[in-house]
Amino acid sequence: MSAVEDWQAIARNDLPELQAFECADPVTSVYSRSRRQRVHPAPWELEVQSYLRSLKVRAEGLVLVGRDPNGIVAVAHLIPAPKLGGTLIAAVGRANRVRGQHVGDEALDECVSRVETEFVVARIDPRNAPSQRLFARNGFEKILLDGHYELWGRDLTH
Amino acid sequence: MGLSPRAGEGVARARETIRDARRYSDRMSNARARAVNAGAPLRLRGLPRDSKAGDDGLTAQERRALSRHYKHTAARPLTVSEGDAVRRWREQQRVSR
Repeated sequence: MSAVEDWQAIARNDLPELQAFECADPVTSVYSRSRRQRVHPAPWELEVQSYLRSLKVRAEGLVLVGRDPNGIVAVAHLIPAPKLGGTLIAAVGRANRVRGQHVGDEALDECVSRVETEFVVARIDPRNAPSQRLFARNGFEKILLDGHYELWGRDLTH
Repeated sequence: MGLSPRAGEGVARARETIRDARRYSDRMSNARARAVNAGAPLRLRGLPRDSKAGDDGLTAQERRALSRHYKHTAARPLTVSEGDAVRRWREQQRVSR
């Protein structure tokens, strides 16, 4: 059974809930006295959460919001890359409360079904093993490891 | 000062990424532009912490952009080198089909 009931493009009334969207665990970084800075065990999760919270109705491309009766369960942002004829999945996040229900797979499916280009690509942090497994499971393959991020892609022409 | 042979490659790629980020940042507000500029890959990780501007062939401005805390970098548009990699990958896909 699908955990996401409905996928819609972002609307103005989604914003208050989106600004409190929680997909990082823990939800915030904590100050480390020894390192004299704020630290988080999975900074890539925090980065995605912060990015999704900052999205606006007029964001470039398409922002998809997945809902169940209790609120937002997943958010994805797609940005067209017209020069290459593809689409970049800028971010995908699922709410902490639906962890383990394969909402990420549903979100990726929805992204791919909405894309009209020949391929999709996404950047994944090399330390982010769960996302790498998610993308590999959904037909993506690693194209490039360029410093900070791995670039993963899926050909949609066949 | 002795640098690893790979440092040069990193510098070239970092410069390219910064150029891409700047081009993109022209269209954005200053705050967002700063985040994107700072989002250039932190290639300086392989260098000694006390290295100074010039040690690695970067200008002071490029070093500052690289060493700032990065933010939202996964969402920036594809860089030139990523675009090239995608084209090569697409070509491989076509050949293998």
